[in-house]
Amino acid sequence: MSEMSIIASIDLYDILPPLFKSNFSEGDTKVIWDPENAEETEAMEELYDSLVERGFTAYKVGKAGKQTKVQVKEFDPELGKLIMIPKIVGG
Amino acid sequence: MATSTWGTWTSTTSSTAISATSMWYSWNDANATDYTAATSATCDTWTVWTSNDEPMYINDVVWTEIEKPTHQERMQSEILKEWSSHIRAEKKVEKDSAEKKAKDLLLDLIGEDELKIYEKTGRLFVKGKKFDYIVINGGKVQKIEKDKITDLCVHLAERSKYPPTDNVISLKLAIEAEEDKVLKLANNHGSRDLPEELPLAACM
Repeated sequence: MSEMSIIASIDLYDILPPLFKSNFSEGDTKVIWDPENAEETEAMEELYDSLVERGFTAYKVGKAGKQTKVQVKEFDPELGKLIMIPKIVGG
Repeated sequence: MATSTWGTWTSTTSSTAISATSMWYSWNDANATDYTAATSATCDTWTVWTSNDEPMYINDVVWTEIEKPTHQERMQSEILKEWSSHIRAEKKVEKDSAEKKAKDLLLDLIGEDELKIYEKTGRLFVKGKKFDYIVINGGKVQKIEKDKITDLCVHLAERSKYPPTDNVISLKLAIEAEEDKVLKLANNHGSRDLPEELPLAACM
């Protein structure tokens, strides 16, 4: 199973694929999908692309910091655990 | 309007006197007939006010009656108050629940022991490739160099839409993976000497 946590505001609800709309919640929204399931994978790829279009960045992470965090440039259903974060700005 | 002034301070007679119960006796506006004094008593008071001029007024005091709200208006105001307080309570529950979720996500990244320190201090130590950083839950980032600390301002766009810990997680990931980009975006808010001891912060 692969997992994507999306740090996003309420606007995320509109872009979540219907398949995962029920996952939406305040704070980060967690979506778990089965890379073997074509329908889920396709929906996740669409979601990934639309988030990247909106300025989100994807990072691959491991539990308790055991893996190096790397920025993900392309969607891969087998990525494991991903965190998508919105745009960062200077203040 | 006349511009009379009090002329004589007396007690019960026209002579000047001071006592615990003295009262103004004589009103003096250069016309001794302008007043009628109170009768002699322990506590004299003015009984009749007269003036050769126009009637005297205490400036222009205007009495207006404040319109009392109707029962319906009072009810509406009560309902509005109740509703606002309900909305505020609901928003607080949503915010608290979002912050709890963010902490659960951070738990995945730093483990239980470090999360406890984060909850206590609100600070997360992040190691970049060039520098170390302390990301503070209130929104500040401190860049730690060999001999100085620099305050940086960098955060999620529309930060107020997110729970504070989501901001911390985002900065942690961005610093670890793209430190140069973060440094380029950050605004420098000044440096100071590195203190002998850094504040306690969660790390991993």
